Amino acid sequence: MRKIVAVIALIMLASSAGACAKMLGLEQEKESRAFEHRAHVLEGINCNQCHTGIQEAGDTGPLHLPTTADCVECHQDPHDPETCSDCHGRARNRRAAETARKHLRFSHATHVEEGAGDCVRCHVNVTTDSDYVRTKHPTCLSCHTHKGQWDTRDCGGCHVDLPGEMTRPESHVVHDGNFLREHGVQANAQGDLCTSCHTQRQCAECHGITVPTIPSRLDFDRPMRDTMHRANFISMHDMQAAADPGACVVCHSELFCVDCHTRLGISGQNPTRGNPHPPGWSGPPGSGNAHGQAARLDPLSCASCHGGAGEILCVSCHQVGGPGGDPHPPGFNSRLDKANDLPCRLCHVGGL
Amino acid sequence: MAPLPQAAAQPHSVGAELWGQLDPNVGLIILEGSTRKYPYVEAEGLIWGGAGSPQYGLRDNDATFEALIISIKVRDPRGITDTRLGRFILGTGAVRAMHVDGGHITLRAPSKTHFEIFGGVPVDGNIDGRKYDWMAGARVSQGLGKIGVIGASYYNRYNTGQRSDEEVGADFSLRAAHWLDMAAKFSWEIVNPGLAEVLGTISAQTENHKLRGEIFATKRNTIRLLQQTSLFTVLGDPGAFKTGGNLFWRAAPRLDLSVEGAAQQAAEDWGWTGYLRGLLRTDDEGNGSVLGELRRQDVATSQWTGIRLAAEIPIYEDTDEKVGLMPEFEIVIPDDRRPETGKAWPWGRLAVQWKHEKGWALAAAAEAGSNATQAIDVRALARFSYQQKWHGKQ
Repeated sequence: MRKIVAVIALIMLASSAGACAKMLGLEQEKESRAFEHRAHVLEGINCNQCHTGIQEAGDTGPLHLPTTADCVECHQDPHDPETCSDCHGRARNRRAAETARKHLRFSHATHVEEGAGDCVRCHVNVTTDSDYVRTKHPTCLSCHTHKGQWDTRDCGGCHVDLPGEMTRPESHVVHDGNFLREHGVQANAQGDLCTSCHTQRQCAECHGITVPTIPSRLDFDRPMRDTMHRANFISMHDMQAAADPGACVVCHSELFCVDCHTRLGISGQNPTRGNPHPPGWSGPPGSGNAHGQAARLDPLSCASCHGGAGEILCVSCHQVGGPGGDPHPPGFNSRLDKANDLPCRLCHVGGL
Repeated sequence: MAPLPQAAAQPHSVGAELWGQLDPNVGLIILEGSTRKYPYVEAEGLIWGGAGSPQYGLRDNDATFEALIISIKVRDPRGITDTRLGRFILGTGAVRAMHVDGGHITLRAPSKTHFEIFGGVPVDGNIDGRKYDWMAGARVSQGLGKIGVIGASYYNRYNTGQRSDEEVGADFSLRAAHWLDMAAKFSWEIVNPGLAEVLGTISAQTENHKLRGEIFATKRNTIRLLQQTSLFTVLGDPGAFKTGGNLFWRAAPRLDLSVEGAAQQAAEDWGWTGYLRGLLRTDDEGNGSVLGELRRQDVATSQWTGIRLAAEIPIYEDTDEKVGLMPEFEIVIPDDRRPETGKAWPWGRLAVQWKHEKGWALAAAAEAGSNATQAIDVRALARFSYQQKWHGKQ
């Protein structure tokens, strides 16, 4: 009995392990595998025998992928009556070829002549059993002409519509990792490279001041998209602002908060939505006056509502000789003209 | 075989989108278009109008019309100059991404030295106190062969006729080896002298891209990120510093795992933040996927643990159209649990999407959530869009 149970358990374990392996992609589906380019190369079969007419192909027209009829010219006794490409070669690679045909200004005729019919010079991986045989970007750029185009960000010579192509570069620009953190510093250093693929709309969806709504709400059917403000961000925004006080103001002016809160009626003046200031927040000298310490710890929180014209409220107390005392911290230094520049002139009338 | 779209011709596109939300009620219409004539000119525009509950970009109960992008980029055929004019996002050197009405010119010398000048009026909606606001600056950068670029920049900004920002900055992006990337930028405020911002990141990855690690550091001086016309800039330097690292691992062809941890300073408090994330693609093409994430933040008054689950589930696909389901669920559990704010804040959304090969798309969703200020918030969303793309003469 124990042996039977053990055998059943082993069978179940093996089948679930197999299912897991398929789910994780560790075990490839039998009906889809990389095309056996290497075997054909080792047999000495010329590329043009299967990819008929590729040597004359320009930058428009059909793809030159072999059909089942081409295959059975040699494989006269196929093991399966189905279309060969259903199993041999992956659908995604054929789709990649279609994308390239649609978006690349590329002529095999020109390149075959220059490469003297040596396909492997560009399609390096046909000599292996690799799943990927398309030419990689560094191979293209190794040609003298393209070096200059790379320097001037002139991708349009080959890529007809990079924003529409939306193919993630494989080699020359890293897009892995934490995009939200890394993209800004990369874009500021070489923004012209970014804009060769990315449209202004893509930047403005997050960085635009006049956006109609946040991206995760506008594109509510794209949950995998990594954005700074996820759809439920509003419930967390005050905590996030407290945790990283410099992050908000990088994009939002400090008046952004009060603009929205005023429109939504969320302020200290609206008793139904709650006063953000706890008891003992402000009062005459000698009272609790917690607002002073809070303002020094997180001035942006204060500025987010009391910035701009609201600063008059602060200055009414915080001026030299005023009940709020000297607002300047020890070692205060500024190149502003106190007679003419804000905020100095709020107190230093006439430069005094 | 179906005829393939013609390549080697200039693409043009126009699109329209109707977007609506129920409770609070909001309606938007978005119109966009783009065109290009290689190698001389590229243009794109996106304008929108909306009405409904005053929130998001809507300014009041009456109709709002805005331009998000109206940009034209003119290029000389040899690539010596690029000029962008209109309303666009400017982000170069020390200048943090800024929405401006203005221009940006790039001049490229054969020595791989680039000169940039830019200026304009920052877009800031209709907020009072931002009148006579303008900015201008320049950047010079030097290409370092194939491996990267190093640059220095300067910009100033005036608000209501007053100098509100003046910064110098340095930046670089370097791919030191095929497995090693690094980038950093640094900016120094001149008006109220001191460090404004430093960001740096170094990442390394294996040749097969299965493993990638990154270390990063960000230091921001909040009072110098404020416009210097603000009184709050005199209140000292509370500081905001974050440093940490993350690791990405393609554990299996369809499974990505990532983990991140960082120490974070907010004013005088130190804390930490981090997450664990897993993404499983349900097919080789990545058409379907499932995401799980566990996140924890313990910095200053932001102390919470969150779980997020999301999926994209293809339910029908043929050559012309496809239909998918997109469920999302999040729950945030704050450390400070009080009866008046709730012990946990769950949120969920279920979206369904239909897309047609000819450019039509329709999506609808229902969502519900609870947070510290609202016990229950239920909404419905819908979007109907069309995009037409065609290629001009070769």
